[in-house]
Parts: sequence; C-alpha cells; structure tokens
Amino acid sequence: MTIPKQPLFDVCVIGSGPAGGVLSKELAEAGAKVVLVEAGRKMTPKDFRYHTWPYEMPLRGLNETGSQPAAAFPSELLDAFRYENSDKVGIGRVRAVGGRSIHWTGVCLRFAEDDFRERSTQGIEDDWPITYKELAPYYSHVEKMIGVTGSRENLPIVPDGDYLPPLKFRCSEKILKAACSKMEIPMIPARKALLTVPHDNRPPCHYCGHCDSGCDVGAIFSVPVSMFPKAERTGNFTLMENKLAREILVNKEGQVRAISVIDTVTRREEEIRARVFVVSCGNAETARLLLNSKSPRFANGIANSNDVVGRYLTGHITYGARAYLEELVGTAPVNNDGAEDHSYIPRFKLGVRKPDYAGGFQIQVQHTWFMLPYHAQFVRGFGEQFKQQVRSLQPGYCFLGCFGKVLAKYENRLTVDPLQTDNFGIPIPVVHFRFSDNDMALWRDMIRTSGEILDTAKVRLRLPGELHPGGFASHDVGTVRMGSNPKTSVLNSFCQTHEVKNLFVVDGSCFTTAPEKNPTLTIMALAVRTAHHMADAMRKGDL
Amino acid sequence: MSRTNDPPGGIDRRRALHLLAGTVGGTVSLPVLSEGAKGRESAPETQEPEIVTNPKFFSRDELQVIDVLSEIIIPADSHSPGARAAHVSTFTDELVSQSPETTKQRWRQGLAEVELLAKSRHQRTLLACSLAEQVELMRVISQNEGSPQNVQDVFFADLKRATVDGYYRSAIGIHKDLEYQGNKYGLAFSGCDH
Repeated sequence: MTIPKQPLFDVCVIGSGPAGGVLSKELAEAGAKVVLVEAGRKMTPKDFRYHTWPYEMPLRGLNETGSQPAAAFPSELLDAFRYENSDKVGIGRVRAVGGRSIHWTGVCLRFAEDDFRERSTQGIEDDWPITYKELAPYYSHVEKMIGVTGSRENLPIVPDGDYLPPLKFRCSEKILKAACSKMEIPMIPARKALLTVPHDNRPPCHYCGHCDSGCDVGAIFSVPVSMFPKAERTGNFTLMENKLAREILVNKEGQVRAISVIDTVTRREEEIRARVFVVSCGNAETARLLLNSKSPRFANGIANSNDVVGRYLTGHITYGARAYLEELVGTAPVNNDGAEDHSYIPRFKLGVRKPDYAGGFQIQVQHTWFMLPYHAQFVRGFGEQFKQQVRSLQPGYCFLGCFGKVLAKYENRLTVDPLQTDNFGIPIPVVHFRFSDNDMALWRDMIRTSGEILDTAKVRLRLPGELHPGGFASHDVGTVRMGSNPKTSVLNSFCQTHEVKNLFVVDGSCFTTAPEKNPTLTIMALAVRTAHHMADAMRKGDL
Repeated sequence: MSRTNDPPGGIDRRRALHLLAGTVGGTVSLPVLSEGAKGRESAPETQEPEIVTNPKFFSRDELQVIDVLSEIIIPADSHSPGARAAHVSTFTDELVSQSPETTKQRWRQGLAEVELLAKSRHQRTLLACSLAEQVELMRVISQNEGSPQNVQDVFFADLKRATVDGYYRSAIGIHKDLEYQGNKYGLAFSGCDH
C-alpha cells in the first residue's frame, strides 16, 4: 500500500530528455506547476570524458564507446531488454537528468512537407494528423530558443529555419562537395544545435570535435544547461531525480490520478499526483510504461484498447563509408576536429536512376572523430613501410554517415514480458523487428551511391563496410503514434491519447512515420506545440 | 593541396574558459565551468606508463616475445618511436588478460607455434634469433594476411590488431607519430581556404 506524499501538481512530466525538458520549461513559463520526474540522476562533469585522451583511460580507451557517460547507461537499464525473432537494432535508452540531450551531436533538421504525407504523396504508410505548415512556427520557436547553426538553402526536401552562422567546410568537405556537384547532389553546411556565436547566455563552440561526448561549456544544446535555469526562474518547476516510473494509475472514470514511482536509491515506492500527465520517456521506455499500466479499464495497457501501443516501431537504417581522399594523402597534419559533422547531404534523387524502393536517405558528412587511424588494421604488411603508409593516409580520412528511412510496419513492435522483470520488478521491453525488402533495397542503394560519391572524389583507400544493416542510430520512434483515426493510432495531433483526456505522450514515440531525417528537432517542436495547447486548455478549464 | 584550417593558435584551457566566459559578460551560469571539467592545461605529456615487470597473463618470456614482434610491426624510425617505446606489450598483456578463455588459448597456441617455427627454421628460440631472422619469421606468419588459414596466420592477425590498437592509442602514436593536432580549445575554426 502506497501513500500519496507529494502535493498535487498541475502537470507531471515523466522523462527529462529533449521532449520532457522543453515541454516542462514551456509549461512552467505559462504558469503551470510542473513536476519533472526522471529515472536517472544528475550527471556531473566527472561523469563525462571531455577532452580525455585514450591513453588516460583503462586499456587506452579501447573498450570505451568514446562518447557515452557510463553512469547514464547503468547495467540495470541495458540488461533489462530482449530481442525476439528480431534483427539486432539498437534501441536508444538513457537514464540521466537531461536524457539524450546530455550527449548528442545536435543535428536539427526540419521535416519536409511531404514527410508528413507519405500516404498522400507516396502511397506508403500513413499521413500525420498535422502538416508542416502547422508545425513550422514551433520549429522556429525551438531554433531561436536553443540556437541552431546552419544556412538557408531553399531546398524543399529540408526546409530552411532560423539559423546562427554556418560552420565552415574542411578541405575534405570541399573535395566531397566538388564531387557531389558533378553528380548534381547538394551538399550544405550542417544544421545542428551548436552555437557558432554566443547565444542565450551560453558561449560558442570551442571546436574540440567531440560533440557527442557531452559539451563542457554548453555550446551544444542540453536540457540541464539550457532549459532548467529558465524553468527554475518561474518558481513553478520541481525536478525529481532517481524516480523510475512503474505504472500509470487511473481512477474510476478512466482518467489518470497518479503515477507510481520507485526511488532507485531508497527503493521506496511512492505516488506522484497531478491534474495532467505527460509521458516523455523516449520511444521504447514510453511504450513500456503504457503497456505496463494495466487496469480493469485498460487490460491491454493504458490508452491501448486498439492494440496499437508498441507497434509501428521504426527508426533509421544506417551505413558508414570510410575512405581516404587521394588529394589529401601525404599532406601535413592539421586540426580537423572542428564541430564534429560540418556538412550534410540532404536526401536527393540521382538524375537517371530510378530507385527500386520507397523513401530515401541522407548523409551526415564527417560524423566522426579524427584522432585514430581507423585504416591501420587494414593496411597490409608491417615495419617502417607500414608505419609510413598509415601516417600518410591519415590526413585523407573522410566519413559518410548514411541514414535511411525505415517503413513503419504494424508487425514491427515492442512488447513487455511479465515473466521477465528488471531489478525493480518491472516487466522488461521485448523488441520484435525485421527490416523489410524495401528497407534492404534502400540500404543497398546507400552503399552504392556513397561509393559513387567517393569514387567521383577519388580515394586512395576505402575501408570495408558493414556486412549487415545497422539500426536505429538512437533514432527509434513510432511506438505510440499519432493519427486522425482512433482505431489505428494512440494520440491525436496534440499528442493527447484518444482514450484518456489527461494523458499526453510527447517524444519520438508519437511519430506517425519516420523520414530519413534526425528526429530531435521535430520532437522538441511537438513538445512546444503540445505545451502551448495544454496551457490554453488548462486556462479555459478544458483540462 | 596544403591546408591551413587550424584554429588560430591552440590556447590553453584556463585562457579558453576565461575568454569563453568573457563572451557572455561574466554572467555565465554554467556549473561545469567552475567544477573542473576535465581538459588539458597544456600540451599533453607523451610519457607512457611504466612497462610491467609482472605481466597479468603472459609469462615474462612471452611478454618479451610480444615486445620484440610488436616492435617489428611498428618500429622506431627517423620520424617517431615505435611500439616498444609506447609499451605496446603492456597493453597487449592487459588486453589478453581481460579476454575470454578461448582468446587466451589462441594467443598461447600462436606463441607456441611461432617458437616452433623459430626452432625449425633457425634452430633457436625466437628471442635468440637475430633481428633479420625475426623479421623473416614475421614474413612467414604474415603471408596470408587478410585470409588467415592456420594458427600462425591467426596469431599474426591478433598480434597486429593489438599492436595497432596499443600504439595508435598511446601518447607516442597520437602526438609523435600521427601528429594529431586536435582535442584542444580553439577560438574559431577557419575552414579550408584552398
């Protein structure tokens, strides 16, 4: 028996990543009393490896991912997970105050008009219940608030936003851009939540090149540095860390009355009460929480009478091409670190070639680090000649990070297993996912086309690529999708569940479909739109 | 194409933070700035950790063999020190000591195989062979690089991988051999001006 201890808040937000963090700040500023509940703890500078050299780490950093603060990925989270009849796709889960925003490269791309209308324009998947035009003001709101570097290019496939000055190309990128121009493929400066000039009381980038290790000066947007000070200034904001949500609890009328949380330090269980609840735990953990919230009214999990929660799991299919540009081999070493990826190839069509698949792909150029010679193990031989070859190839290094669209399919899903629980007795998520024929055709084209770009740019050496497709690059989305038809979707266009009026879901899980573009800017734009809608409805007494 | 896209002068961390804080009028409210986030005050040391005298997995003789062979793969030359100076054998010992049992066995078998090879071709232990003989042995075990077919081929692949990982992640590999210029606080990134 648990006893309610907390005061009654206006809004309880579960999960403090880009969605929950932005939404909480907007609601607090609108006057709502907000409690933000996070399963992880606050990270400190000691949790990060800012500017650490490999030889300062155990085993010279060989077993380190290089970017992730280990404390945000506890084994109690990583182990609580299973695949069943599934391709091995990475599901992005993190447990830390600030969620994924504490270490990310910051790519911020607006979706195109047609990305919201796959059914109408391509005859695949479903249309979103909102249009680009409806979301555009919120994209703008977020870009101005967080600071996004970029350039205006007038390309319909990736609409322009409000940008800080763009990043300058490295020499390798100038060579690649010349090759792309020959193939009539656009290549533009990267668009990312990184400051190239001071903005919003934060200093600009210092170009150490390790954006996704976490930024020690806050030049990359993160929720703790950029959103919390604003939320705290309102006096309306309470942050609770180390509180893992077990279940959403409903009253007789089928409305949410509280959430049950476990304190991961004391292991005590308590209830947090509010008028309205927002789930922003990130795609997989959000679906898990809904599916684990069973009651007589919702035997299949809350807001899931139609059995759609957990379905339409999608994300990105990936391929990375590493090569060494002929023109730069043997040149003197220079500092190429910059701001990690400086340039971007938006989705394109190659003139004569008709693709044998639906959807498309983008390329994050130089989404990589320049410290280590990735080619060394592939250069044959040994001795002085080997050593000299490794050294001379290194300045030519370039990387094309390809991200492709994955079709959202009903049968690709996430379930929970009541027979297998985590350290806290909560049923774990189980992934059932297979890449489709369309996904594989797109993957093969990513390999072929990235190779053609490199051939046109002329390379001395290409490293062998992956033999199997990768997914989802921390971009998994879609498990609690929005739609205009309550039979085939969980949320309406304001991320409110069709079935429970005071329950909202805002994060990647609410996406109806996933284009090739990185999801976070759209997640934050939807968070702002939902927050403003909620504030209006609460003012009018509708919530 | 020569390139000049360095930031204008590497600056030390304290000065960088001072300047960065200065850009926002001294009102910066970033806790990380004052809590000693990790960074480099100056050019990094290129002093490697001491070579181990008590290996964790290999015997002392085995460790010496690894040391000799690693130095043949990445030798000291006029440009930079080699695997020995970067204490690659210490790294390899640590690496193998943390590996699964099957990997450990593979290394043991590989070392035994190389000793057999030294005996059959030069009638002495590998450590007793001349450098020229050791290099000749390396040629034999590396001849099927890329498509290993037997124990010695696999041993070469394992050895080269460990040597590459250990060397290019060392201060010598990063700073002296590859002359990596990054991982520092810069004030601007001027891009390629060619």
